[in-house]
Amino acid sequence: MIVYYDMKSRITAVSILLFSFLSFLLGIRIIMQGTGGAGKGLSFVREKEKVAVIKVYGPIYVPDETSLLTGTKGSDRILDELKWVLKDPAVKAVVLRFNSPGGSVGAVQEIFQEIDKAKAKGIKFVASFGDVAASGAYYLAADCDWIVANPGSLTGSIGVLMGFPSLEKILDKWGIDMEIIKSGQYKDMGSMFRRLSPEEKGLLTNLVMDVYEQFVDAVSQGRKMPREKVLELAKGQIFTGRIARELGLVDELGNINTALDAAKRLSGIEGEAGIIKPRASSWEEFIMLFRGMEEKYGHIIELL
Amino acid sequence: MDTLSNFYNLIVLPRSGLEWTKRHENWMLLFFLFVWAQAAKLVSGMLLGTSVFKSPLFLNYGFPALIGLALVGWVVSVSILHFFATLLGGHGGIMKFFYLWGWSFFPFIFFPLFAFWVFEIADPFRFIMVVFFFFWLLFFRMEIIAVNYKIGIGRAFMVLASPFLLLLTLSLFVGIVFFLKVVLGL
Repeated sequence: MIVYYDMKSRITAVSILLFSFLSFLLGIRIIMQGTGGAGKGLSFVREKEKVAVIKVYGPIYVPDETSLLTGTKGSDRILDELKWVLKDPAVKAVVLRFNSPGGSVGAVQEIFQEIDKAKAKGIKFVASFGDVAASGAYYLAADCDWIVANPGSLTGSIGVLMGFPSLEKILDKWGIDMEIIKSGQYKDMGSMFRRLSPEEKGLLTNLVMDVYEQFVDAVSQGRKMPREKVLELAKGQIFTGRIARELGLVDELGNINTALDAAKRLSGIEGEAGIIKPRASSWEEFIMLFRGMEEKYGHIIELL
Repeated sequence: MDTLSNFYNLIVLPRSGLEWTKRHENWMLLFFLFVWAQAAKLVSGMLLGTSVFKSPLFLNYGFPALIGLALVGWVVSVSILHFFATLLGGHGGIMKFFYLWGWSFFPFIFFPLFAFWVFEIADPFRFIMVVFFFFWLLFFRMEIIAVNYKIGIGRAFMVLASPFLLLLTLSLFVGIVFFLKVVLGL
């Protein structure tokens, strides 16, 4: 009986060890073969190719500070998130989810440059419009490979504006004089204590028009649209998604899922793709526990 | 009973398997299994798409770095657990524990089997399988502590849990103090 027991346990042990070793060797073989392509090999074996979703919500601006509680903000946050998602070699496309009325030129152009760099590396960008993606937000969207908007999304507003409040009349009424000592005649141009002179208005108009030309060029190049046509649409008017589609400012009508499908299609992802969203820092997550802000950022990987 | 038969016991009757292992030290075999277990962990991790193989340590120094790291982890774990086991009334030699703790990596040689065959056949039960593997590993480690320090399984669990409980308590304390001082400014 003892011999039988030993034989039985030996055979069982050898069988299990053998199967484990074979699985180990098979695993090595799969890894060496690099069955990492979507739709190939065993479903759980490979890392899924991914589409990243980055939110461009609210005004786009270069923040003047980094908050201890919320981390980076404004365009810096978007740049950080882009950098984070593009570190992952499995990310093949990025969906920029817009709900923004626009923003400052500098902030928009900083993000624009990063999009161009990523596109040069083969990453596809898709813009998805929520309620609104106008002005600076459209500037960014125009650089994307594909634009998806809801029929009722508001977009367009291609143009540049600059404005200064003037307290001159109030100061006159109250009899307050403001003494300004300046090194040059234009140094206090835009000061709220006096109105702009016609010459200064001319200078600022040139400045605005230069930025406007850059905007028009960006839309023309991004949308592959003749400059003349862009100029017709770039008078500051806003459009619904449906009209923008007819005018060629938008490629497709649909929602975020349509945009994700487009991202998969453009980047050549077959089968399932993972969706990643930038994760908040541990500190932010800690703060969110107390502030109920979990809507801010997920760090989930969902299936498309 | 021989080494091969003892593998059977280690799988189905860990207590008696570990008792036999304790009496028949074989460092060569242990080292071989240790390296195999680390390789199996790596392969399973890669198959399952974990980030182990993306870590700078692995990318720069490869598999030997993971072995080195596991060895350091082995020494550190043994030191910490020996401290808590003694504190909780256990009696056992640290060198013998060092040897036995090396066998705590033993279940990992079956990890590719779980990761590959079991998951492929029963993918919907993946969660259950992972939980099963986790509890097997936990139970195996509790048995090692129980065998070496001649204590009950409940106390062995406390030995394993104590470092985590201590860390959790300290973290909570530091977190609360930090929150009150820095965030609320009290």
